Amino acid sequence: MSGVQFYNGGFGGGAQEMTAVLEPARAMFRGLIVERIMALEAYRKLVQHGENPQDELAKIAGIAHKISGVGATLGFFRTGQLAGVLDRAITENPAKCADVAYFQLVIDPMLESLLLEMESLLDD
Amino acid sequence: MKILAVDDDPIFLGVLLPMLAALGQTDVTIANSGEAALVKLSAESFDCLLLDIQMPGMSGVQLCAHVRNLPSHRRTPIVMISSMTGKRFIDDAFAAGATDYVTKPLDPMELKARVLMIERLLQERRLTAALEKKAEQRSDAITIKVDFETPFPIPGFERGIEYLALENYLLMLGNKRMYHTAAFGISVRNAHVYFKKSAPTCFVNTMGDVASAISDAVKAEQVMIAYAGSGNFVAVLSSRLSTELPELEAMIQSGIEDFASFYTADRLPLPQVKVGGLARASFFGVFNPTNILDHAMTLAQARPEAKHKSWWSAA
Repeated sequence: MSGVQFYNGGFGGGAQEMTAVLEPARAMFRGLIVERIMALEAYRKLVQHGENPQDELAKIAGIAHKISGVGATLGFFRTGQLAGVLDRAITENPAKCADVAYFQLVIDPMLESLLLEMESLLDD
Repeated sequence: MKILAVDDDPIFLGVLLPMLAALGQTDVTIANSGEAALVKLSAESFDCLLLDIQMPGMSGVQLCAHVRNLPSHRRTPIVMISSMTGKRFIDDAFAAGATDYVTKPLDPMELKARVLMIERLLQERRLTAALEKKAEQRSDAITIKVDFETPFPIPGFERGIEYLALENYLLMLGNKRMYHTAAFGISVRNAHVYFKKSAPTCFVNTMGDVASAISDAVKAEQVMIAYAGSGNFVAVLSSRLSTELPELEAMIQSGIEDFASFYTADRLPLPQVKVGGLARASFFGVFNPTNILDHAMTLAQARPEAKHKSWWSAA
């Protein structure tokens, strides 16, 4: 197991015990990284080409939502944080984000940061 | 405790279930959509529901509203779990009937605190279930225990949420967003008369009559109201009232007068209500968001000439 610390918030049973019980979920998370990177890249292209941008944005937000929901708990703090920022930015203003110019200027850099962070997890 | 956890993300469930198991909660059923959850709820009963908000198809908030229409789960504690911290999401969740709101990523200590809170709530539920049964029977011959001071959910209170849920709502909003929030109290000035002179069931029914009049009076307002115990109701609003408070008081009193014949028959006075001034959070000082509820109730109970010196402001 890597040296990543799980976030257990002082939970009874100690960090090691929590680390062990969350290992299956952590393995699932890691196992989905490549698939999620590819999906995010594909949806990004569709938004940039203005093809149903709102629908594709919702899919991007959906993936970011899932990553942010568990990232920190499973020890992937930075990934979870970046995904959370992206999720909130899209969910709180979907119409504005669907504008290609706004997407390029504001949302795409957030997405790029998340993708780079996810790719870095593949190197661990 | 029998739990139904609803989330479309298997990884999140892979996090939630071991955390619950570490708290001794192993009787957990899972559903991966709102629709699947409703199927399970129609077949069996659960003590507690944990709902993700953002799911494809039926959202957690929509599911929560559906669940509140199921007689078997009208009072089941529902904890919403979401990474959304915006006020709109929190407002929608509590307005749909949520008992509590937890943010993702899950903090194990926070989950532990919530599970303990639910266990406490379930104990209160047992009392409520007995109350509802007796209230339906409308029988004064049956003895039930009701503390004057303790908040209890009022059967049939359409616009009401539980006091604990209202506290959780304010805690979720946090200090920063409290500056846009105000509260007012509605006090039944002669509540003690019903508690002392009549059976507990009659006291519960009287508070139910007042709750019904309040529901009618605030029909057009965006407020969250709870019964706070001791004959007091408290309402939290995040936008301006369309009705002035004295007018609201008159409307509630008028609604109560519709029940006059029942009170005359029972030789009891009509409930007399007083609506207090608006309580707002101050910009100064550190405070607990729920203090605004206490202050709103104090204002409703105060005599007109009374002055309050505190770091709260009353408009």
